[in-house]
Amino acid sequence: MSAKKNYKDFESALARLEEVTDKLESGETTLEESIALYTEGMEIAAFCTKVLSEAEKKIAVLKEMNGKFEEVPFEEHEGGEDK
Amino acid sequence: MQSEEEKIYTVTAVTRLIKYTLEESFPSIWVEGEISNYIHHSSGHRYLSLKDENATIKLTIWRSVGQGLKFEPEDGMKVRAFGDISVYEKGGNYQLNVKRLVPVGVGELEIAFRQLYEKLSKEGLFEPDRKITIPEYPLKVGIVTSPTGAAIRDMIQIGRRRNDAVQLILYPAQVQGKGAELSIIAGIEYFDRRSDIDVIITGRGGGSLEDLWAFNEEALVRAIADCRKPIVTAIGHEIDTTLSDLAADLRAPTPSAAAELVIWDKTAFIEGLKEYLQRLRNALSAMAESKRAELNQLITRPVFKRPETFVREREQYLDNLEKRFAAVGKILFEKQKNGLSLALSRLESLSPLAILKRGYAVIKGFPGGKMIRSISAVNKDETVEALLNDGSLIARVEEINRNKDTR
Repeated sequence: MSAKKNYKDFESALARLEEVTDKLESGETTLEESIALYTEGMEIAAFCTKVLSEAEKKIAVLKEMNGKFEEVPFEEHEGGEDK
Repeated sequence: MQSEEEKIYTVTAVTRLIKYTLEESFPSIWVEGEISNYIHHSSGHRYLSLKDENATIKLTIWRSVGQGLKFEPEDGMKVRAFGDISVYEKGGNYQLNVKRLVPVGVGELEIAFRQLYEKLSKEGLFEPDRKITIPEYPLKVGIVTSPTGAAIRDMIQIGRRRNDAVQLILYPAQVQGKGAELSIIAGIEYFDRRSDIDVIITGRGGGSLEDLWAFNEEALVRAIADCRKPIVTAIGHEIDTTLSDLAADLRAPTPSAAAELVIWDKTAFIEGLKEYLQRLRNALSAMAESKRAELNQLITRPVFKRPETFVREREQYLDNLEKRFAAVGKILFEKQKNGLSLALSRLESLSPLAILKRGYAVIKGFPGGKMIRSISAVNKDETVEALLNDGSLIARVEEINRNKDTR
């Protein structure tokens, strides 16, 4: 059982966390397995929290420069609304 | 001099005269009628007739004009055609060369919508099994819309409120006017190629059917259907449904609603995470508690407390075993005994006493003599004992008669 697994997205991380919790709650695991499950669950939670606590994402707008798109911070236009 | 009646024209000359007369006397005109005999030729030109109760006129739509048609003409459709009368010299007929064609009663966009809808649904573009599930927790959202519209403003506002960890990236697109669909397609394709984008939203704020029309253009509808990434449309208000909406994986009634659907609530997510952590902790302590209890129970077992008791218990067990063996032995013995008496009774049935019961007698010498088997063993007047079933008789031999055949 690899507790050091990197989760590519929140969906799979959450799914695994649910699985780990259900398994641990079933009480059908050995003490050693239980500790491993607990550790893995904690790691998943830490992974999610870390992603969430990273700096606030700025809204970006794409600007075409020399045929390539670059992301620059988006500044809302106050006037000139065209829906 | 020849009179007018006698003047002879060539076919070409008269046709040309008719052509000039006819074409000069009619400026560009509008004609209204019902379409019949509509043919869309492989050359790209379209031929049809317009008719009413009393008359028919032929129409030609050249390829260059036909390409600009929003809808496909159909037989029975009521239309107004704008164009010039011209004479086709080779065929000897006149026709209206159409410059514009508009439906009567129903808007041309409505007809175009219905026709494209029928075509694309036949192809299965709107089938539910084509839809991709929208991820529950996307981290990067690509938005294709106008940078100055209400749509992006609403979505940014909702994003800030719900989850600042979700990055919104805007592809600035033209969402109305000529070529708008190409601009939107470019944005969708751009995000579809980027591997880090989890979900795409495209749309715009409310407007007239014409304003929203880009989202009913065939090329855009196809681009949305072909997009490999989950794509959400948010076009106009709740009552507006475009073909893009039908082709999308999810249709949000408004741009704000799209943002609410796609941008997940960070606070609720963290609460959920905390709940899992609590469950994990509880489960682990419950596990530890039960293991501890097990250990305690082991420690308090008699064998750990008073080992000698354990030995005695074993001894007692052995004694019990012995007793049980003895008991079993006795039972076996009884069984054998029973078997013996059965054998005895069988033996008894063979005994001479049983024969006596059947009415026979045994004669012995008296007193205490041998069993007499022949008349030669006794003499006249000798006393004998006859044993019967229930007793014996003491008797005297009165007479001895030998069987004739026996010696």
